[in-house]
Amino acid sequence: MSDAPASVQSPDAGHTAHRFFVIQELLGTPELARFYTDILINSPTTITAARERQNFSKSTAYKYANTLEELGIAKELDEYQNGSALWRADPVSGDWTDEITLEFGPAIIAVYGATSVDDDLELYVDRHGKAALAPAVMSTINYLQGQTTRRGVADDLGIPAVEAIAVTQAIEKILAVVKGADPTLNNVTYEVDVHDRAIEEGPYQRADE
Amino acid sequence: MSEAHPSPFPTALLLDTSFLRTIGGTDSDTYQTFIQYVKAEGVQLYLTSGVVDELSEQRGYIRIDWVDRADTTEWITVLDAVQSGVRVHDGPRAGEVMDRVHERLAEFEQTPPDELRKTDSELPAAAVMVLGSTTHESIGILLDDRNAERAISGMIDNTFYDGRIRVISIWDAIGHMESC
Repeated sequence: MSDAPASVQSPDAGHTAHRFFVIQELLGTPELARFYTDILINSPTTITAARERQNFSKSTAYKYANTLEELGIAKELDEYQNGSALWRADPVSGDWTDEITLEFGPAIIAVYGATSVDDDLELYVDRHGKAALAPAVMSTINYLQGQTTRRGVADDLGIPAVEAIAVTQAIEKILAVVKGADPTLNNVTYEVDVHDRAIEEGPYQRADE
Repeated sequence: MSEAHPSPFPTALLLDTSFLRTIGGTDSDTYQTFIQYVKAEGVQLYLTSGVVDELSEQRGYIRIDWVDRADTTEWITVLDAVQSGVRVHDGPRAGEVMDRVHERLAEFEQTPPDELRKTDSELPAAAVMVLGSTTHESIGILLDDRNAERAISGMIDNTFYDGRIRVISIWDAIGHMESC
């Protein structure tokens, strides 16, 4: 009898691998992540409304809508608004375990998506790489939970204060809007209110607010 | 916490890095509103040495060279380092204000005080210096950090400086300036 360990792959391995590739696709294509996030936080919504909010061309918007449908995270509903079909996106999330476990969910996807339109996030990624955004999101959540100051985030991330101020200001506008659509943040309570005017300057808006 | 209705608005404003970042550059409506208000109302602006240090390493995140503005204009002043012994009336001394705010920040950051940067705790101490050395009856601290605000306001409340050193939310401040 072999001493080799038994396979730990469950019948759900295919589903898990699929989610991995979905998240990888979104994190690798910021504009797709931004389009997904807009539909997610405004579901159900029309493609026309989403593309107008995010300033995409009609062809790009429908290309991304089809991509999201193929990925299995959005679908066209049998409902209409002003003659246009409504779409619904579903939250997608997954854990990545190495030295620690990182939970990638809609909030992180939304922040990666915003790098395509937010100058400060784009600059931060240029200087520190895409991977540096994940700890910045975690630290901004800590700030919103009232556990640290923005300058405390600078210490946590080992970056200049002005950079921590800039990146937390950019990320908090996103977290404030996305929280309700991100199950990974269900147990997180924000102690800090993000001002409506700050949110208005952010990349995502909820159409019903 | 910050004041929702900051009126009458202080004639002296101590600007944090977070405020200067938020108002943007010369092409920003918020920047134009702020500058027009400051010039029309004769408001005097102040920067602490800690904020100046941060602005000097700003690395592309702030569009205006505020340190140069301070060097070349009359309406922005860079403050000297905090003089610990300064006090106004029977209020706590500037050094005590700074230490107590720093202790509050260290407690909730769960960080040893000597490992925590002092830029936030320097702000109210610098405000004491401005009150003690000018004719301004009140000074507003404009910063965008609710947790630092909480530490500062919690120390100022119920002292002589209550109402004289006022932490004002940047968006409430801009809203006030837009309404003038």
